[in-house]
Amino acid sequence: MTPKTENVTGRIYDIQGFAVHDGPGVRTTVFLKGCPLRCLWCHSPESQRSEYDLSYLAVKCVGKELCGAPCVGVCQSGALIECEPEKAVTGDRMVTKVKVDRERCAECLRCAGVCPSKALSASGREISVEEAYTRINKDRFVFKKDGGATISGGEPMGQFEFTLNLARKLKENGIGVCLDTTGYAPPEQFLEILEYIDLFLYDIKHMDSKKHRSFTGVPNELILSNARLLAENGASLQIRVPVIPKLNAGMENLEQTADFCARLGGAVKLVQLLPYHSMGRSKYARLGQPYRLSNVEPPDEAFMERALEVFLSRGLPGKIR
Amino acid sequence: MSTPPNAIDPALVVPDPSVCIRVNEHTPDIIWKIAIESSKLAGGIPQFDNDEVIIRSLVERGIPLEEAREYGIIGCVEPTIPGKEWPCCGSTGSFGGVTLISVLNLCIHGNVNPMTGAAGRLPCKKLYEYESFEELQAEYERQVRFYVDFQQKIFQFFEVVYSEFFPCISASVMMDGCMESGKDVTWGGAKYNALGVMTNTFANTADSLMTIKKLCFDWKKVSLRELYDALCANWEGYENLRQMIINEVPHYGNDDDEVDELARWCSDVYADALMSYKGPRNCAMAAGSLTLTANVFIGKRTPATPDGRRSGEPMADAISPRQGAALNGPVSYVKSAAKLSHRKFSNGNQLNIRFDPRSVEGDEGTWKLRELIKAYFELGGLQLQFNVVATEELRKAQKDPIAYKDLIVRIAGFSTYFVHMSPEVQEDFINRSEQYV
Repeated sequence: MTPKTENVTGRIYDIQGFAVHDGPGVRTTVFLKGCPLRCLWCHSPESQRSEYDLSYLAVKCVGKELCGAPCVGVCQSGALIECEPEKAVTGDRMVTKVKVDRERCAECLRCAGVCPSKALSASGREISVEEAYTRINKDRFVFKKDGGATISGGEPMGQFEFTLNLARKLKENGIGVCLDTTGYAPPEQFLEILEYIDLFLYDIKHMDSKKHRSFTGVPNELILSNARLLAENGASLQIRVPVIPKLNAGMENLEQTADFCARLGGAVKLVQLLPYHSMGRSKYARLGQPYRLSNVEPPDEAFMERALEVFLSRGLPGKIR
Repeated sequence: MSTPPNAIDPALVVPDPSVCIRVNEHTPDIIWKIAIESSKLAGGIPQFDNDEVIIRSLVERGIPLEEAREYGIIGCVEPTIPGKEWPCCGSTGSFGGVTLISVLNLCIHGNVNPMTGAAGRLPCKKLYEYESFEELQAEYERQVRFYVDFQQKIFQFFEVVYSEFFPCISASVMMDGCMESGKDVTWGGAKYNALGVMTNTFANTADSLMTIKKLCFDWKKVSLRELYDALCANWEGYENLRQMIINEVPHYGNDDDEVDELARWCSDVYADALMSYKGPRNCAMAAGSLTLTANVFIGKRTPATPDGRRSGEPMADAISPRQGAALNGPVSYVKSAAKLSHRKFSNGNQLNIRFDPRSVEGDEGTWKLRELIKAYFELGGLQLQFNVVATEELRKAQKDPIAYKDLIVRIAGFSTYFVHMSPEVQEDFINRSEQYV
C-alpha cells in the first residue's frame, strides 16, 4: 500500500482555475510534469520531461539596456546570446534582447534565477499535497455539483504517491476528482487509486500497437488492458480520442476504437473526439524544441461529424470536443 | 406570457442601448441561457446585475424594501427606483469623484503633485519619512476624509446653482412626490433622493500600498527612499526594481487575501467617509465605481505609481484588477473582486472580465459561464460583464504585448496567454475567431 501522507511533493508545471475542458462542470486542474509517452501531436511539450525546462519568452525580455542582462553573466555554457538591437514596441528606445542557444544550454536554470522580467523562467515547480489542496480549495465555491478538481499532466500516474494522496485528500474533503491519464501505468496502481476518482479521462490513441508505438513511443497493450480492468472494477470512464489526420483518423481505426469502447459497456460515460489542432506549436518554440508534426492539418467539421457517427451508431454517448 | 425565443436574432445585435439583466436565485434557466448566449453573440451585452446585493444596498440608502425591489439601472451601472427617486447618479454638476491613487500620491510626494508642482490642501510627509506602514495608511485615510469633505462643499454649491438656474421640469412631472410637495426634483421634490459619487483606481491604490508594505516594510528588500527616487525618476534606471514589483509582489485580482484586504480597505475608507454625510436635498450619499474610459485619461495625468505603472500609463478600470496583473484566471479574478464591500456601492460598480465568451462553446459552455457569474454573485459581487475580445483588440495585443499580457484565449484542450503564442499561431487564432463574428 502507498503510505498516506500530505508531506509528499509533486512536480507540476501549472494549476489552472476555470478549466472548462478537463471534465464536467467548472474545474481546477493540476498539471503534473513528466510523461512516458511522446505523442507527435502533444500540445503540452512542457509536460513531457520530469526535469525542469528552461522556458524563454521573447516578449517579456526587457532588453540589456534596462536590466543589464544579468543572465549573460551567470551562464556558464555561453548559451545566452545578445540579439541585434531592435526598436522597442513602445517609445523610441532600442532594445537588445537575449536569446538562448539550445545547443549549448545545459539547462542549469541559473539565468532563470536572475532574470528580473521572468522572460527566462523554469517551467516546473515542487508543490506539496497540502499546498495543492489549498489552492484547489480556494476555487471550491465555483465547482457546484458537477465540477471539482482534475489531476492531469503529463502523466499523473507517473508521480503516483503524490497523485494518490492528493486525490484522497480532495475526496475526503468533498471535492470531486477527475484523473486525466494515458492509461500507461501499473494496473495495481489504478486499482489502488480507483476509489478516489469519480471519472477517468482516459485516452485511446490507436488500436494498432505498432502504430501506437510509432506515434506515441509506447505500445498500447497495457493501456487497453488497464481500460478493461477499470471498467470491470466499477470505474467511470470518459474516453478521449484525439483525431489526428493521417495518423489515427482512418475509418478502420475509428471503428475498432468504437468497438473497443462499446465492449467496455456502461463504464463509458462519454466518448469525446478531440480534433487535432496545432496551437501548441509556439510552446515548442519557447522550449527550443522542434515541432514534429508540421504536415498535418486540423480535420474539418464534416469529417468530425462522420467520425462521431461511428461511435454514436454503436450506442455510445459521444461528442466532439 | 409568451414563450421566450430559443435563439438570439443577430439583427438585434447593436451596441446601444445598454441592456442589463437582473438576476437572483429564482432566475429561470431559459433567461440565463438567452442572456449568456446574447453576451457571447453581442459582446458583453447584457451586463449582469445581482438583485440580492443591489436591493439590500438600496434599502440601506433608505428605500423601503418593496420599492427597492422595483429598481432599474440607469446611466451605465447605477441602480435607482424609476419614477420615484432623483438619484443624481453621476453627481450634480461636473462628474465628481475622488481619484484614490492621486490621494496616495499626495501622501508619497509630501502633498505635491510632482507632474504639475501643485500643492494639495493638507501638508504631509514624503514617502521616505514614514516610520511604519500603519502611519502611511493613517495619513492616506486622513487625506481621503479631507477630500470627501471638500467635495461635499462643491456639491452643495452646484446644487444651489442647479436649483436656481436649471430646474428639471419634464423629469419633475413624471416623478412621484414633486406634484404633492410642489417642488422641482432639483429642489428635493422627489419621493426619494440620492447623490451618487463615482470613485476609481482601487486596484492601482491597493497594489501600490501592497508594494510599499511588502518591499519596504515586510521584506525590507528596498528602502522607502529608493522606491521614492524610482518614482521620481519614472523608473528610469530602476527597471529591475519595477520588474521585482511586477513579478514578485502579489496583485489584486489573484485571490491573495492580503492585497485583496487592502483593496477592500481602500474602498471602505472612501465609502464610509462618503456615506457619513447627508447630501443636498437631505439625500443619501451613494458610493459607486465606474470609470468608462476615464481610467485612460486619469492615467495620462498621473505620475509613476508604486505598483510599477509608468507616468501617463492607464489606470485599472472601475473595480477591475489592473491590466496584466491578474494571472490566476477568472475564478481568482472574481473572487478578489467579491471581497470588496459591495453593499456599500449603492451607486453601482462594474467588473469587466476580459475573457472571450465565444470560446466557451455550446450549451455546456453556457452553463459553465453561469457557474462563474453565480459564484461571483453568491460571494457578494454586484455587477459583472464580459469584455469580448474582438479581433481589433487581438491586433492591439500583437503590437503592445506588455499591456495585454493577461489576455487569456481559450483553445480546445488548454488556455493560454495570447501574447505567449508565436506570431503565426496568433494569426491562426485571429482567423479562427473571426469565423464567429
